[in-house]
Amino acid sequence: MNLGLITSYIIAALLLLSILAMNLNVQNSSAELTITQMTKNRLINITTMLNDDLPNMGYDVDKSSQESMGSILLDADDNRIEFYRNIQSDLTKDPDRVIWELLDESPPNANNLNVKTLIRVVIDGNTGVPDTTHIRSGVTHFELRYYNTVGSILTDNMPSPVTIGDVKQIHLRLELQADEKLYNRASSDGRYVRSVWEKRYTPPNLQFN
Amino acid sequence: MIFSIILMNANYMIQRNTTMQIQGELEQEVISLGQEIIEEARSKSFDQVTINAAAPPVNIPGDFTAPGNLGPDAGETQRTLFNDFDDYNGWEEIVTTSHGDFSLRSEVFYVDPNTFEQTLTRSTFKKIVVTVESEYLRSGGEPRQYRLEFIRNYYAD
Repeated sequence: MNLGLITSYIIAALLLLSILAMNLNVQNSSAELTITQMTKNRLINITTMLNDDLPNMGYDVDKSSQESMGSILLDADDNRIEFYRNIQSDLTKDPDRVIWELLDESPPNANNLNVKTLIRVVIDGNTGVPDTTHIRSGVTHFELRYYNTVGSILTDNMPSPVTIGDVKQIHLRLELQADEKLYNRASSDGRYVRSVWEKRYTPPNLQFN
Repeated sequence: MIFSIILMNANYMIQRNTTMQIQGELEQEVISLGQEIIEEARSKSFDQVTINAAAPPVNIPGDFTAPGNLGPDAGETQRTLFNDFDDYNGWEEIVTTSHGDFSLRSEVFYVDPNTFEQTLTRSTFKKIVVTVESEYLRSGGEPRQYRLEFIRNYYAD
């Protein structure tokens, strides 16, 4: 076989391999972008609910019932928060209790075992009937920190257990991970795409405690 | 030659995808931080003269802080000591988050009740502008400035 033919075979093989590698990289990048977008959409859905619940805690809870209840906040734990809020804006109605908690259990059939179930419970103030929403959208962390001073540095949070009557600000760190792993190489362990969101809330009603 | 062009385009696309992912994640944080400061400022009194006041000021808006004096009052050397909305005027801080360091600064000024543009006379409207920057969010070689604004009315408190 002549040298020219062998060289052309080698170049063709190299070209083919390069095209395959490029194809794989483009495919991985597109998959990562799509999964990131899906994770972010899920994150936005959860933060929309949180952005309505947390800043409005204590809303329309009249002072007399607030005094008999002791405080707007009922529980302030690392991954659980419970508070009063009258979302019906009806003063004749007793305020509802809203609970957000990250359960230490993975959703059924979860591919990613880091994922846990986040629940939002609204307990009707008059009937005591709970309405529970199970959020199985890839939440891996739901970390709460509490502050007794507005505007203090992030690491200056109140030690646990907190004195709930003194809480003025609440910092939340939420992390979501995708259900499926991404593999950059066939032999790699793969990784889950994640999205982190954090925010410090200053509920106006806690400023009057 | 043709393959090289295709390869370069593919590389460019991958790079853009990665940049978009990172930008999206960081911009999420930028919004949170900006909102955080606005919510915090909103929880404070409208003006120094309205803090724990038994009655509204006699002259509204004449008794409010002069436009040139908006900012922290004597002794209010840090954010935890701020007690009214305009104390956030001129405030600057580097905030460290799980997405890195962000530079925040805010400006508070009176706005005209009709045009909502900055005015150098007292009014019942104050506007806060929070500017957030990150080393990793750049445009034209410079950190991109994200501005979040909020107008507060004395009567709507």
